[in-house]
Amino acid sequence: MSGGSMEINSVVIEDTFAEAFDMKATRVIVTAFDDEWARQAAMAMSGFGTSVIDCKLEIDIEQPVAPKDTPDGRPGYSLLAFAMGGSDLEKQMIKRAGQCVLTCPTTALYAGIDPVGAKRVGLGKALRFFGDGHQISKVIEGVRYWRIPVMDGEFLCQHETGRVDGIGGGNFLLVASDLKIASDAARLAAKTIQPLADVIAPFPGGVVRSGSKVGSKYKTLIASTNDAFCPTLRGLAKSSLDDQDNVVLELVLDGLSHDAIADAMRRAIVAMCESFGGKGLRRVTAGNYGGKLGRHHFHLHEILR
Amino acid sequence: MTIYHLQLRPNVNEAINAETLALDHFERLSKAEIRRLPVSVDQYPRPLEEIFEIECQEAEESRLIVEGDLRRVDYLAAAHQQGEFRVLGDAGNFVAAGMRGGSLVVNGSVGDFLAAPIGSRKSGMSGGEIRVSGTAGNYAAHRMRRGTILIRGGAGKHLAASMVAGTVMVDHCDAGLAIGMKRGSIVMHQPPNSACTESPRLSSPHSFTPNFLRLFRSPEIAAFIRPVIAANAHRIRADLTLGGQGEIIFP
Repeated sequence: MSGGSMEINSVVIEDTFAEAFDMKATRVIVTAFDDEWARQAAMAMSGFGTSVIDCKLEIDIEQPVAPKDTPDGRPGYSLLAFAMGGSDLEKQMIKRAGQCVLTCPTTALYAGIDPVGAKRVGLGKALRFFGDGHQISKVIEGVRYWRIPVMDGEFLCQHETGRVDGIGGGNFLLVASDLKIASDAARLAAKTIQPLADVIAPFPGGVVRSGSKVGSKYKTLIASTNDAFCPTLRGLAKSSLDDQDNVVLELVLDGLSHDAIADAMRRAIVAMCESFGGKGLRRVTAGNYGGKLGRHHFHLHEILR
Repeated sequence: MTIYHLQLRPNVNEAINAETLALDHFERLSKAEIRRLPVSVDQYPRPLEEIFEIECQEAEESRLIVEGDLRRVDYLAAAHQQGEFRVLGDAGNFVAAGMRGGSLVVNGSVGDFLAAPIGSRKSGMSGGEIRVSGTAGNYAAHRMRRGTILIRGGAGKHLAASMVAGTVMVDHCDAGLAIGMKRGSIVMHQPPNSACTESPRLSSPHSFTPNFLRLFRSPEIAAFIRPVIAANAHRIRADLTLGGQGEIIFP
C-alpha cells in the first residue's frame, strides 16, 4: 500500500465505493434425512435467485449447518434471501418452499430468524393447505409447526420465519489481463466469502460477468450491460479499461449488516490480491451510481485500511 | 422475583382445595397477605399459614414450591400460567387443571384429572409444560387443548379422553385410551394394551417416522422420547369416530 493510492501485492485498489441498497431479508434452515437431500433442496430453493431485477428474490445457501445446530438434529443448510419489499419476500419464499423443499424427499423447513418480536414471513402458514385437511399443527416449546402428510411421511415446516432489514448490492469488480486469472481469482474470492455468516453471493458460483448499469436505450429495460467495463466495447463506448484490462468479473454480496458485507469484501479482496497479484490480476474497483441510489457505501480504501 | 416454599403442616389431614395457590397471584400480594390467604379445607376457608409453613426467598426467577404428602390436596397448579410450579410429593386430583402456561414439575405421582378442565369448562390444559416423575390417575389430559405433558410412569384409564390438541408422553396406560380424541399426540414407551387397540375407535398400527418429536429440546423430554425416535415407531390414529386426526405413537 502507498500514499493516497492503494495497492495490495501490486494490485491497484481504486479509490471508489460500492453502492448498496436497503432490502428485506430472511433466513431459513432446510434439513433432511441426510446431507444429500438437504443440499438438493437448498440448491433447488436458491436456484434462479440471482438478482431482484428479474428473479424478484436474491437467495443463496449461507452455510451448511451441523446436525447439532439444526432444530431437528439432522444435517441442514441455512439460506439467506433478500427482496426489495416484505410482500415480495413472502410471496417468493412461499413459492420456493412449496416447489423446492416440500417436494424434496425427507426435508423439513425451519425459521433461521426468530419470528418472535420481528416482522414475519409465512412458511407453513401457507403451505399447510397442501395437507387438504390432514395437516397437523403442533406447538412445541412455544413455536408452531405444521406437519403435512406427503408420500414419504410428513413434511415438517415451521409456521413462519422472521424478517429483518438487509443490504443488497455490495460489490467489487476484479480487472485482469486474461480469463484464466480472472476466473481463478473470482473463484477464490467466492470461496472466501462462502463460509462466512450473514452474507451471500447469489450469482452463479458467487460471480457475475454481466455487470449492469441502470437504464437502457430500450425503454422497457431497467438495466443493461455495463459498457464501461466491457473489453469488447473499448474504442466504441466510454471505457474504464486500458489495453491490458481484458477481463472483468464482479462479485455481488447481500448481507444482514454493513459490517458483514464489509468484512466479506475485505477478506475476499485480500485473498485474491495475495494469490494473484503480479500474475495478471491488475485492479480492483467497485460499482456505484454516484451515491444517488443506495444509502450504503462501501469505500474500498476504508474497508481495506 | 421470589421463591415461595410451602411445606404442608404434619397435622393437616383434611381435604384441601389448593386453587388459590397461584404464583402470579402470590406476586401481587405482600407476605402478610399471603399468610392470610384463604384456602378451602373441607370446604371451609382457613388462612394459608395454618395449613402450610411458608418461606419466601428473593431469587432471579419466580417459583412456587409445595411440599409434603399432598394426596388430599386437589387443584395444585390449577390455572397456572407463568413461572415454575413445583410439587414435591404425591398430589391429589385435578393437578394443573386448566393450566395455561409456565411449567409444572411434580416429584411424585398425581391423582385423577391431571390437566383436565376446571369445573364445567370445555377445555383442559391450554399451554405450558408438565413433568410428572411418577404416575397419573384416570382421565389425565382430559379435553387437553395445547401444551406438553410428560408422565414418566403409567397413566390410568381414559388417558387423553376428548383431547383436542397438544402432546402427552407416558410410559403406558390402562383401558379407554383416546376415547373421543379429536387431535393431538400421545407418545408411549409401550404399545397400547389389547383392551385399547381392539376398539373400533382406533386404527390399526402403521410404521411411522415421528420427526416432529426431534423438536422437543427440553433435556428430560428429549431423553424420554429418544427410544421412540430410535426405534421403528408405529402410529395408531384416534378417535376414528371423530375423524381420526389424533395419534398414538409407540416403538
